Amino acid sequence: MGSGCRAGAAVAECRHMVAPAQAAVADVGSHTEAATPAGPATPATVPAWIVVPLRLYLSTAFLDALTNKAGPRRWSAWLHFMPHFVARLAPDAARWYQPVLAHIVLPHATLFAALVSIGEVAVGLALLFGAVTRLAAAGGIMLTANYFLLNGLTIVDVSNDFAILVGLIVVFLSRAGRTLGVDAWLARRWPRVPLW
Amino acid sequence: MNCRGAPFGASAYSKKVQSAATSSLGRVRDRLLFDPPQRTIAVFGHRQGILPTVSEGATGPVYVRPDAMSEPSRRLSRRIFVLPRVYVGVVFAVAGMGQLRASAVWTDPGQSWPAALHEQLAQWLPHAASWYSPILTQWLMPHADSVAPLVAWLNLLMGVALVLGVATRLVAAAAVVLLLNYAAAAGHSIYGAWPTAAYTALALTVWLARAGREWGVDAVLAPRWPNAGIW
Repeated sequence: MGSGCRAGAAVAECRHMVAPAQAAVADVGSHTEAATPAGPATPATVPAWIVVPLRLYLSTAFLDALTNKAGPRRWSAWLHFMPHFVARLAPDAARWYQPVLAHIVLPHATLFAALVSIGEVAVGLALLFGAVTRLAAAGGIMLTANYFLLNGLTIVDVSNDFAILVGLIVVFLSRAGRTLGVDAWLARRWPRVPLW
Repeated sequence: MNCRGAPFGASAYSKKVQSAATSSLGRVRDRLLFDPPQRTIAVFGHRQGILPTVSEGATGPVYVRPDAMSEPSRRLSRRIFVLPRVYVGVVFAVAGMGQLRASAVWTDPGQSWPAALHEQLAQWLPHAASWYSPILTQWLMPHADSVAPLVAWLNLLMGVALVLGVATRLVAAAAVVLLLNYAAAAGHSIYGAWPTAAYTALALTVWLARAGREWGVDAVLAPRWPNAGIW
């Protein structure tokens, strides 16, 4: 550590070498600075592998779509069943979402059924392998938000859509693919791309 | 040298330097939890993946492409995990309040909460996991009258504790145990769309991240007793 900090005291890790008063003046934002007079102005941090179990659980939650939609018979059964399913839930959906259901989703029900199933499987696989994680989390958020609105904005008790939404938001913000995932390799080559 | 700039706390890093783990398990633990400060930098969400490392003779921040050695040292801001902590807390608190007032989803109108719990456990009993049904029939269902208010108060207190960030690790571990009980009693696969699996994953994440230490009461408790396992 000492060898690295010899030259540049302006670098974040080396602020402990600077006189404490000087460092404290530079970092007034974070509340942790009040407790530790010298050091980088950062909030407390946790290892990045913490989000990996959450990411793996979310991938299983999305890959559940395979259980009742995989295979030619189940696929056509799902395409046929989805409009009835949506129509049955539509009266309990969020108020402003019902016109969306009636005018956009139900007239093109087969298309949306196919899109939803393929999207779920794609999001599940992407989260499982940690590939293009931010894009997958964003897609998962869009899908889950639609289910959430369809189920009537229930935050607790009835369905776990909001819990999955919270999990996906955490995965999105933390770029969970970059630890133990394909994104680690992708980010090495293109580090600033917002898709992973 | 005790580097106070380490984001994970001076005591942890000095402990690592002094212990110099010689067992392979100790080395794995050190690599997972702590890292030499040269390769560790706390990053905010929008700067993930950019890990400047300082080289000899550098006069300012040097951008170095993340390499295979620097990737494992990624760290995340703990603030991300306040959201699941508060959400799981709200879920538990609402469930507990509903159970105490006999207005939970499980209760029929006019039914008391202990009777509703007994009825729900009886409905689940044929589907329960094989190792769990003795627990249901011998401990939970006969004593439903005393278990039910305990569960309701536990839910409420755990929810409030999570929202406030008090003893977060203890409460999150208890939440995981409680939810695993629900999963075993209901008998659904824990990887299914059963709601408890999602809440269990969130509670486990909160436990791993010690989410109370940011924007919570644990932020005050932890610096005074940093090694207590309950926050």
